[in-house]
Amino acid sequence: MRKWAGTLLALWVIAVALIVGFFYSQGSADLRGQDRQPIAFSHQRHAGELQINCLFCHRGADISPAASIPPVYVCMMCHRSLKAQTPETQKLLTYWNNKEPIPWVRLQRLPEFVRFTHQMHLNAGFKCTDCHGQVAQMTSTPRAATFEMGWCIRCHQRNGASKDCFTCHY
Amino acid sequence: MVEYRDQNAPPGGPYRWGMVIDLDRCTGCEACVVACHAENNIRISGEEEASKGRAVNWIRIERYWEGEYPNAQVKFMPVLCQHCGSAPCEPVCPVYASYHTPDGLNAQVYNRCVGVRYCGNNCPYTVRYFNWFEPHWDEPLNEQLNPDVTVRSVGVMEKCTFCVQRIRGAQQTAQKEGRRVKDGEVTPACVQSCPTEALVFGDRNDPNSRVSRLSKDDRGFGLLEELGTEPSITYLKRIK
Repeated sequence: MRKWAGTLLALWVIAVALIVGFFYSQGSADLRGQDRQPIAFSHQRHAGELQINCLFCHRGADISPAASIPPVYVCMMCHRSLKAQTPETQKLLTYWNNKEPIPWVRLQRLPEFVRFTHQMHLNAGFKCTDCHGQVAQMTSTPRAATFEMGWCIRCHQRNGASKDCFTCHY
Repeated sequence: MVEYRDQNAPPGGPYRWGMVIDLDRCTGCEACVVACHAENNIRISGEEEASKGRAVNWIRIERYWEGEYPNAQVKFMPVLCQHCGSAPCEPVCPVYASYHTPDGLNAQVYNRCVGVRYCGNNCPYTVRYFNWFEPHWDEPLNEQLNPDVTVRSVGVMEKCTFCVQRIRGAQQTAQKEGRRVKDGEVTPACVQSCPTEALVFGDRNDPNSRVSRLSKDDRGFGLLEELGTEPSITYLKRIK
């Protein structure tokens, strides 16, 4: 009886660890983010098949701290001359005709006490894919990394960048 | 492509930021106080909170009266964090939230701070402020918060940063162009807003900067420098 109790306890601990770990990784990866987007936008279609440069839509990335989400008129630069419509592009046209912004759900988010600049990292020679993964092959766009402090610090150490607290926290 | 990646290792050695405050120029207008509030997301305290000593002002104007009315003379002194070279607030922090950066700033890391307030109690200048409440701004002031500065939450200590967000911004531009930050390229909000140019900011490691030259003035002194805090701010005042 004693022996069984020990085994059961161990199994129970492992099960709890697995469940907690599963939900933790889900939270980190934001895998369900796509379901919450108002339009089923595909990076795989735009950046992959059509080979549109990241900076064409995310115009702030190399000139400002924020990469920025494109306004509707950037979408319409191409979409206004498209003949064939799908239900998803119809949604885009509705937003355009109503002169409303698209309420995208933000997936890549840092805590309030972190100051990050895209510009500086691109200037230092990094590519979008270094942090965001192979976006050109993703239909939905989950977070490719945890974007937690240990992850930042490891890269800063590898590249001889500043490890001073006051670089990112102020 | 950048030539250096560590902001603390620019060509020609690290920076050492400092300030000179010319008291003979200060008129006590408090433009610096207003500018600091706007730039650094400093929460607004009412009369009641202020009377309990809970108001937050990273920079304040101290006022001294000499003589009796109508022959009174008023003297003003802007007091902000002195960014001491040997800071009393730093060794008392149990979690290293208060520490010295390689470029001579006395930093407060909000996400490390656990709110024991030892640093504030050990500061001879009383320029560290504790957040007793969650910050609040009435409409429409909440729309003007600076996105480059953290909004400090309840339970953490905060203080003057020499507008580090502006320093880092100038350093990024300089780093992109592979050079050092030029003299006068960084101006903290208080320095920028001073109508009489009583406040001057710059790199004390550059012997030709305005700050270096002015701090050698024979009017110069450090606030409570007899305590051995080695302040980064030099005050100038003609003794009559």
